[in-house]
Amino acid sequence: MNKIKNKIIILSVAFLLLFFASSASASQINLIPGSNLMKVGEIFQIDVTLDTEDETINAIEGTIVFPTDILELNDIRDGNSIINFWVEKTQDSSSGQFNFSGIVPGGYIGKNGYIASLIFKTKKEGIGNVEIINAKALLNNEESSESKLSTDKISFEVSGQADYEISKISKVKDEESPESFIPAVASDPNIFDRKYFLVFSAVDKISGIDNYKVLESKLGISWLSFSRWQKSKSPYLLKDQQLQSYIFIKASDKNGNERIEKISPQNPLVWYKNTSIIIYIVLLLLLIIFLFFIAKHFLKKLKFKLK
Amino acid sequence: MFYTYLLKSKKNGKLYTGSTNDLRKRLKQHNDGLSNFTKKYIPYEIIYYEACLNEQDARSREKYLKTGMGKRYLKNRLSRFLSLTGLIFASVILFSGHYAYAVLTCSIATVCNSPDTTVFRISGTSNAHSELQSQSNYSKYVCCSGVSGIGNSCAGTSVTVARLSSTTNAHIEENTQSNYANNACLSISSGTVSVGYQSGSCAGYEATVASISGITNAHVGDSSAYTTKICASATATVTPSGGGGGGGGGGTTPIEVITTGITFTGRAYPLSKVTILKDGQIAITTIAGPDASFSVTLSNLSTGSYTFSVYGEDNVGNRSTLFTFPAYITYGSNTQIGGIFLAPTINVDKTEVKKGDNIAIFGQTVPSSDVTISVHSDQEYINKIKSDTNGAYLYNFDTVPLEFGNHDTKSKATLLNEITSFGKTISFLVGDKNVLKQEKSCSSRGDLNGDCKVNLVDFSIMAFWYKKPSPPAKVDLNSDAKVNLIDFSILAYNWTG
Repeated sequence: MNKIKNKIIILSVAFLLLFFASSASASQINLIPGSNLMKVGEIFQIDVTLDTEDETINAIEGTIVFPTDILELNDIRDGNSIINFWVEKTQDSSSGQFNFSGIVPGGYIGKNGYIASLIFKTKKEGIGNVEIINAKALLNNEESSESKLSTDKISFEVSGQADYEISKISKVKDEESPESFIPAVASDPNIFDRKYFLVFSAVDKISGIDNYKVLESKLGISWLSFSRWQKSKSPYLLKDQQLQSYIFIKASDKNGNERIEKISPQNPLVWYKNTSIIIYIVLLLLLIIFLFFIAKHFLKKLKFKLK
Repeated sequence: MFYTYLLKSKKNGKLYTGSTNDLRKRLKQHNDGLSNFTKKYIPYEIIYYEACLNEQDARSREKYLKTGMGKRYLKNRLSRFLSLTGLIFASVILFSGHYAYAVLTCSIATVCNSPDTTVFRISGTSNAHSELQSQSNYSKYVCCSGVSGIGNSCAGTSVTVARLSSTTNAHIEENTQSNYANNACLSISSGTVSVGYQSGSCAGYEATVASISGITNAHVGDSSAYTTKICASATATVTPSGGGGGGGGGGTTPIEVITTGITFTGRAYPLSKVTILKDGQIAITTIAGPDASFSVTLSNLSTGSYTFSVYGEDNVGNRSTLFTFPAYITYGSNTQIGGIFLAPTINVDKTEVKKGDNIAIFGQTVPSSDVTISVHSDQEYINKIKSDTNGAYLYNFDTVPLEFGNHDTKSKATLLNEITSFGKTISFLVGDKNVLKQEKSCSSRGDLNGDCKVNLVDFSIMAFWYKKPSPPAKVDLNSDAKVNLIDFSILAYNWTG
């Protein structure tokens, strides 16, 4: 019996093309709250979505402002976002702001483009607003002209104590590693004084990417390396400007699943110039010598017993 | 005589393919509800049939018409009829294939009788609490139907649709959470069931079961109450009925296992390189055939929303615009994106043309297609030309009617009933001299590191300078002395991956 769903959906592009019919309209960034009436200690989710109203938008930015005395921003989820490359995604919990900015190459057109979810926990009773300020959406055209954008503001009330305390926000169930990605090494006079740097961007459709770590190693096996993984962001200035090292990039999602990609050195060292290999050879020789003496000692004892 | 036929439901327009040796009798059987597969949507009318002398031939033809090729054949064969009943409607129904007669539907109802099944009950259509289907405190049923063998058992072939905090008066959470112990399930006696949670819509699924206010500790409502939708699909696995000549065409063959992926088919330019971007990064490339058609499959994808883009590169390296669309990929499914028709490439032979002289506008598209060339500034001039057997087109535009100054040109192509959008816009100047266009090996705005690509490397260079003072002129694409969203938007427009 077949256990796997085999569903074939063929989308007619004639259907898709209809979306490209242009009309004068305004795009909108919406805030969609799970509820407007909560209790203290409850989890409160706000989805941020983009309605392009028949326009093709390829870049958006904005700031979401929330009252820090009532709400605590616990998590930002973007696992299924329409944004392919984030320029900025920073939260300032003290001032109650979440700044976001990113692009969609080729543009996005649609009604419910999911941007991200903000997961709040209610701290105390009160009435408050969450709103988007300084928002901008740009059209996918040569001029990158600005879309007439309207933004959202929601009001909510926190009243009474929740029946039970949620100690921590449960994670999204995610057992899949981030998708395979292709990092690249580049150099350019416009950045890092023409020094070599590394770029990378991974995607995790379920819980979203949490962090990246980079390891530069003279050895091609990461766990044998004498170097340490370092939390990094793209673009990452390479330490080994001779490009003699293997470069490992580890992308971790918010559930701790990992994907490691490797770039081989452009100028690999011959083995006798590779100190890491030399160290391992010396260690191996020492081990062999040690085992030799152990064996010799053991054989001596054995002969003595036989006599 | 044996017939292969196509029925259309007068109730909802769904299409059904079958074969028989007695067309009139078989139609009567369908309309009398004697076929399990079609009785839900009676009455039917025959909108198309073919006749042959051999029963096996008729059955083979039936199988063929149920394939993607067969559906395309029917779409073309019945194009006039379908255009009268609505092309979009026809496209969707035709392409929905085997499932046209077995699509899961769910709604909030006040009555939910067998064989329909109650997944759980709710106190209202918004801001509601829920209870298990076995309880009887709430009057609204989350009721699903449409697939044989469907039920709400949490055993066998079943999936937890949501978890409830108690048996009644309950909050609800996604099945990805583990705070609650009371499962509301959707099951099927033989087949597959899948459930997911999506923001905005249940694209990629058959039915929206309900909507919820959060991932846990949530309220529930009907399909439009909240952004987060509970989505479901259910497909009964049915072996062919194998009945006599009068009953053929009732079933489907068992479903074969395929990996999660997406297939793109369409037209670019003859022997051109076609690139598919997945979320802005090159996923796969292929070469189009001599007739400009291409087909390429991308597999091993995760479940989720993707943005795919397609572009082609013609025989002289001119690129098309990106054709971008979102798609939701579900586990174990193969989504097919068909009918892609890339806009023609375009270029001109002069950057400046002496008023009254000709400017050559040329590019490549599908062979023997009608190319519409627009030259526009204050007034638009439309010219039509046919592409040659290599898809190339050339139009010498007489600049006599143009004013001095900058002008733009763009083109689109038409082949049979299919038409592209306008492609890239190219600018030229009408002046008092001719200046031939010097073709660079590659020239794209946004290619910051000069590698003929606009991709993650360029994005990273630009991101490095984001909001920093005194950015290099090359990075500041709009020359406003800062790197901000506008520069990123220009980069996104010229993106090649």
